[in-house]
Amino acid sequence: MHREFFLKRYKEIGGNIRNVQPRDSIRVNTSKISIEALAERLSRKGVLFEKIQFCPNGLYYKSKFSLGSTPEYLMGYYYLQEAASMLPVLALSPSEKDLVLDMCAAPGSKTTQLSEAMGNRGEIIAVEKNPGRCESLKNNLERMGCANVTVLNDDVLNINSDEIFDKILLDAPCSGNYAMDRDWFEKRNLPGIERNAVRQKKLIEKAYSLLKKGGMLVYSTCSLEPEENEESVMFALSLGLKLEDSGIKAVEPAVSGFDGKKFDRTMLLARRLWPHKTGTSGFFIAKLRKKQ
Amino acid sequence: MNAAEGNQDANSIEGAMVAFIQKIGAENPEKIFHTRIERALSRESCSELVVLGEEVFLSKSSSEELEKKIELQKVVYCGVKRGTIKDGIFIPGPNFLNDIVPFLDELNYVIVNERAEWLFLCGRDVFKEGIVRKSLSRGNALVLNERMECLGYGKIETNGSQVIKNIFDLGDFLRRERKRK
Repeated sequence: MHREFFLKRYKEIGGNIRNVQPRDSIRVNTSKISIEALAERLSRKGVLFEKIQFCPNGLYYKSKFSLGSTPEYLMGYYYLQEAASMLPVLALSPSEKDLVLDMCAAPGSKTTQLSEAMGNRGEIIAVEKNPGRCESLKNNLERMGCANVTVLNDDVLNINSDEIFDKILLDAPCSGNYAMDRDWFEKRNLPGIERNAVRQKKLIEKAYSLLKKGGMLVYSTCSLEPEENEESVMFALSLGLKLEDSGIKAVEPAVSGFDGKKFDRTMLLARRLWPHKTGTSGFFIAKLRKKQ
Repeated sequence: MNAAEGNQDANSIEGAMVAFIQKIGAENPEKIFHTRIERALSRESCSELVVLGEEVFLSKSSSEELEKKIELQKVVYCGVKRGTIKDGIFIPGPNFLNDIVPFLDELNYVIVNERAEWLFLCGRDVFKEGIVRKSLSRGNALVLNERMECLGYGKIETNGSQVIKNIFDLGDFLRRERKRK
């Protein structure tokens, strides 16, 4: 029953979906090794690579063995990261002078990407409330050699400071999508999605209070549900955030309306990745600036 | 958030780090320690040694400024992790080991072939068949691959054929995750 419900809504807003297995990919840690040097090393072991067009440090790969336990992996030369999930950090584009907040950080794919993008300079505060996932985050920071990250094991809603961050990444906890989990349709339903949407709005409200005037928030999820994406962004706009062009090309814009609701005309600046169109996992990315 | 946290003072932590370098064969461990720290400080813009629980970090200079702005009492990681300290003994992590590799001429080490590299990363000891080059006296020794990348360290054992008994290797990253799950 859930499957039909979701397929019907996807058809309305994104077309006929089909089963997609996202391609395996890595992000090279260029603070430790060049892309060419790593590709050369792993190619000798029989791994085949192809550049990910939208991510300068990203490579699709085909391998007969796991890339999650090679010496190069253990040395922190790369991170196993799905291609679509490399986009939020590119949209945020942090500089080495920024104070950045990563609101829901574990297991650290985007935190370590932020750190690399900042040349291990500036300062990142990475927050994760789950103690077990926090250990994974710490493990990955150590492996990747990140030098500019402070980790708080806490609920980000407990941080009581106002307008201190230059940039914030909110890769929000969400329902996920069918390309990541073959049993997704059996596990998910509308009440669960609505519960996630409530939590996401609380996180956006907190992000707004922590962000400097003129500062930038990138909101992303790996959900395809409008309640967790466009509707969350509508809430962000109501607080005083403004959508900007994310700079992500060759990907569809967000939907302009859903279920009889019409979204703000600037919603087309946000981006949606449909697995059957991009060959990646499903994703949603919105770049928002706090008004001066 | 400072070096005194976790009932460890900066001097005792530094002393434990120096003791580790000495055990790995250095005749002048203080010199290596101070040179290493100074290099790391300038490379990573770090300014202080921080202990959180049993974990030792070199942290960035802006930590104190941040502390004024955010409640940081739940900090569990900051800067670059250098290792852990248990009962006054410093157990280095990969970032500390990489920092002392430039002083290899003054330390015990073995360089191993690809097969021995893989076995060592799986937690196994190093046997003489896998050793390509070595410089050993007594105590502990760094283990490196033929690209001069540090894989970990172990204890030199000379009963019969010479063996490096694995104490720490990079495969620990995977074992920690498995243990956690």
